[in-house]
Amino acid sequence: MPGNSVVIQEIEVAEVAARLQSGQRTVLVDVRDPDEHESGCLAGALLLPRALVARSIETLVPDKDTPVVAYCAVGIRSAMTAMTLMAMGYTQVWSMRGGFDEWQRSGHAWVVPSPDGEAAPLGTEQATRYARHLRLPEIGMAGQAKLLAARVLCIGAGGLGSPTSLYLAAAGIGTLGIVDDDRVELGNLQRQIVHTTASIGMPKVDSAAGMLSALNPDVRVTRIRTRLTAENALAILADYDVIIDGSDNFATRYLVNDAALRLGKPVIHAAIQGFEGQLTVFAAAGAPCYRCVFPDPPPAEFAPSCREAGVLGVLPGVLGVLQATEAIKLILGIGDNLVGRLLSYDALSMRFTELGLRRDPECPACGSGSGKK
Amino acid sequence: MRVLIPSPLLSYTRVREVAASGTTMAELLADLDRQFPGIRHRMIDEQDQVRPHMRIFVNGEQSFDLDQALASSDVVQIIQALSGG
Repeated sequence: MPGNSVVIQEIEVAEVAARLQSGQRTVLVDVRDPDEHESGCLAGALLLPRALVARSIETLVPDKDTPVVAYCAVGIRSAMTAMTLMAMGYTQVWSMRGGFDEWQRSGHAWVVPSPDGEAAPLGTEQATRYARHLRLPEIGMAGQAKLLAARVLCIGAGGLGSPTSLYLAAAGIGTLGIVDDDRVELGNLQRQIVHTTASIGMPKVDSAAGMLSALNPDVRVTRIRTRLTAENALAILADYDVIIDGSDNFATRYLVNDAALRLGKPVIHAAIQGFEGQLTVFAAAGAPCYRCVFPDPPPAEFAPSCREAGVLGVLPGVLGVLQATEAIKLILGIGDNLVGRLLSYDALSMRFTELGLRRDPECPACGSGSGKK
Repeated sequence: MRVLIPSPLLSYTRVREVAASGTTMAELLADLDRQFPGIRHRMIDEQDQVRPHMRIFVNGEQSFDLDQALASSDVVQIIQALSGG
């Protein structure tokens, strides 16, 4: 409609960034919906969903000669808003071309507003690295901050410890402790994906630390190159919030259980053989512990190791990723965890079954039998 | 009824799932042992107790009682403590 049309002025994201950097007076107006704004926005932007612009802009920006940059997700709603503002008499109005999506794609800094309205800054790289977490209402900025502050100990850098530690590092767990006294062998690499062919012969903690740091430099990896013993278990576990049991022998599993119980630390337990895996969480007072479920290990002749019995390479991948999932949920305090439930997985039939676990009131570790040890 | 067998006992059954019958847990275990000689001893000790590294679940609930009544529609799952990691 020539004659009646209002020419919308668009501004490139680089130009907006330059204006902000040079300190030029600019009011940023985020015209997206609140849920879009909360998942990430430009620092200092006013949240003013498009439907509210006409009603509220004069209160928020009374001087109509103020330079205003409106933005939305891709630049359509902000273009309409710019038209509205010009019609209302604002003299310097731009719509940011490509919107917030283009702003992110171009690598410019953005923030996630905290619930009290203050923008909690995350480094540009972190905001991008964890963007998919930040978009989840269950995680968001507050949850990501919890993950970055969390301390998780992986017992074993083997089949289970590999996927668990990789995903925990990717998720931004701030401190990852790795306990293992083995070296990488060729026969490990069919399933222990935190190691590579080039790391054969290296201590597993060094090989794992290299891979995890390369994946996410935010993570502090603590290498604990030792075997867990009755003498060192309490001191090692004490420094961590969550313990992941990915060990490969019963002696260590009972040791982890007993030390974690004494320290009040949750244990994410998984164990595997052949095509079968088991997963549960031992975490709460009054809930079953490992000794409640299995008071004694099987006789050695009935308990072959993976080396003797064999294991499907991908099996610890499935179980380890589930361990990482439970650890992250526990740290964030979201969802239902597996306390009191054992998840049994059979890869051949591709069947998960859930089994209810009972606490043993006479348990020698957590029940009335604990004083008799 | 359906009985799910754990990896360490596959040397007896060769398959993950078998059919067995009995109106109690004791009868079910006896039938399993008829079909797969020796399997009961791997689960139950000389005092008729479930061995401490074996657990038996009926429809997902743990069972310790060999007198527990069973129905043909029940699903019994046996698990053994595993150490692999």
